[in-house]
Amino acid sequence: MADAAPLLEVTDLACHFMTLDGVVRAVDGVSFRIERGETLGIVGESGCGKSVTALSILRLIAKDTGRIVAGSIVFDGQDLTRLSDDRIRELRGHRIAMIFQEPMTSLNPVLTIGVQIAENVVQHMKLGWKAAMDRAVEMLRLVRVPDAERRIHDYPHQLSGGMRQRVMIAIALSCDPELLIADEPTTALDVTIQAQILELMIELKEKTGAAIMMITHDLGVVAETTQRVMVMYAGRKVEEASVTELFARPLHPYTRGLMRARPRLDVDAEEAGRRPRLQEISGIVPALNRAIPGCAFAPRCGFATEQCRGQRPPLVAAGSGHAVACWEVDRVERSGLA
Amino acid sequence: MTTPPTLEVDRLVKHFPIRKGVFGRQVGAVMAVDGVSFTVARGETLGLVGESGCGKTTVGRAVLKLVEPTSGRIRIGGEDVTKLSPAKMWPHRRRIQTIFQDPYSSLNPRMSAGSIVGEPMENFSLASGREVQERVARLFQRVGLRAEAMRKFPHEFSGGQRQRLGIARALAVEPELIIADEPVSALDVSVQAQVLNLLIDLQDEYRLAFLFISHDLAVMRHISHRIAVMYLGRIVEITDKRTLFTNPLHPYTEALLAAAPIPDPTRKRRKVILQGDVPSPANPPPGCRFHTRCPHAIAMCRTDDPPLLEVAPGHHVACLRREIGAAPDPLTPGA
Repeated sequence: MADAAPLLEVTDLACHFMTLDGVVRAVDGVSFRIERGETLGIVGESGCGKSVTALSILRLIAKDTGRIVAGSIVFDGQDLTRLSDDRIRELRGHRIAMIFQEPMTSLNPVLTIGVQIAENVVQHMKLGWKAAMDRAVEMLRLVRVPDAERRIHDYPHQLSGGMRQRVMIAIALSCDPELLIADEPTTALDVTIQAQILELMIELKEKTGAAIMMITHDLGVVAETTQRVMVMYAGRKVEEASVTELFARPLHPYTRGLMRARPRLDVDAEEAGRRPRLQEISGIVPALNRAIPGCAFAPRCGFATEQCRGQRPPLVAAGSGHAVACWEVDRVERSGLA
Repeated sequence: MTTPPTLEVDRLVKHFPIRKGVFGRQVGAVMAVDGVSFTVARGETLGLVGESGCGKTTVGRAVLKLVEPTSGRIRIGGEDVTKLSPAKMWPHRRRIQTIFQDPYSSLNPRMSAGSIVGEPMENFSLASGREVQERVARLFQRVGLRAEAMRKFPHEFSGGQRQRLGIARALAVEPELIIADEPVSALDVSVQAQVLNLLIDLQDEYRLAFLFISHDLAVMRHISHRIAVMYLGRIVEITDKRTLFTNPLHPYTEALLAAAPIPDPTRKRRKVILQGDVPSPANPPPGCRFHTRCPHAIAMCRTDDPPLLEVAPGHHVACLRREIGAAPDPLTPGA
């Protein structure tokens, strides 16, 4: 299977939103692939296009405001951008499933959780309701909701946030998807519950063999759950590498900045009572409603030159599966590590 | 002669009644804060950390007198303000300011940035007329906003700039104590660093006392001098931050530290040691409130309420196993 085509191949994807302030280039020419059974992390800050990329794959971009203007999304040999609405609906929740950040708002408040899991099964696996409810119990057990036979009759408001996210995962996995898209799945949860959910996702991935696209802003979550990572900034991919390579040898100034800006929990650098300064990334993300001719990070980058401001850097290989979009990568690397 | 701490909270209790029926009969209470004591000295940051529902925000709101405490005392610079009427509280309001989590909803959208910061100065008669403008301009510069921005409205600022504006407003009345409730949680990492650095600089410059409320341990470790860990309305451990992170003594503190994801893929993932959810504060478990999730609980923990005891200078822990001297034990190897 090593030479087989990837499960998902996204090429030059561009997704634009038409707003009163002009065309917002939310995703601006992004390419990546996900192999079967692999976990790809997508990291970036608000507005970098990571969620819009995910929504584009499922064709969930609201038609009246946004649109995929270029590129292809090939999932197991078929281009999703060209599928009819009916065909894409057959894929959603079946071969490609998604978990959202907000377990509170993505469940239907007036249906029991058993029905919400079962309706997906009835829809896609063509089972009867009785068999589907049995499947719902089985799924709840899988995501370790205690007392599953009774719990299928509960409504979402009767569950805690962590339990609701378990139900979301149960729905997502109910039809054995090949690709699971998780958009900030633990961001709204408390840290001890987050640890439980991440542990569960890692375990279920091994059990089901599904590929995961893990969208997060948290480098800790990336380090603990993914195999490969792509870093996005202002709608563009700026770096990609295996997770160990990225943390050992971050090359893009933005990736480096992200790693240094966050206070560390595991490093005991400070003297008692002394507080070292965090390394800031000065400035703010650029507005996306104007074309950015050069590197989008240039205005905030200490390495930026005329070329950076005027010409968009291509993504180039930097050894061992590492790719980076930076004109000054040699200078950046020579400047030493974080 | 010792100066009193800037803030002293003494056995603070806040129960929210649960009412039912047409006559609003009280059928129970949410024990949001249940006997919490701590002090914050001038120039010091005390971090209040815990998960949702632990009562950390209610503590902050009680100190601001936005909720009336059920019992307990709050002293500002040694003066008891717990029972003061709104009129008597007025002069103290200037001394305590707050920075909110959400810079989007805590600024009046119809006021210019300059008047948002200038208004409190006029309210407290700290300045008037032209002097207000000058002071506001100086503050803008100090928090990293351009003076021209005074004419802008909140929606014209980015999230980080709005938080700077919130900080400028808090500083406008020269407070002694700032209550910051999750002030960087809504911000992106790159902007978080800017705001944290600014807060630290301002604290050192004005010797402000900070009560810093957050669920984010990494941020806490960075900004705090001392940290109090809360669980279901109680402080379970309080000590200086170095001790807390290197030698945590309460099993809940340990679990919190173990649960936070670490940005280092070469580190082996530790086993999750905490199962289940936080019980409801309307019906907290008897005995130690943590015993239902504690991996080290013994029979006594189900019945006896552990007091917060000083186990080393400045290090207080509420755990029966510590009290009965069960240590050295497997809680923290090498502790």
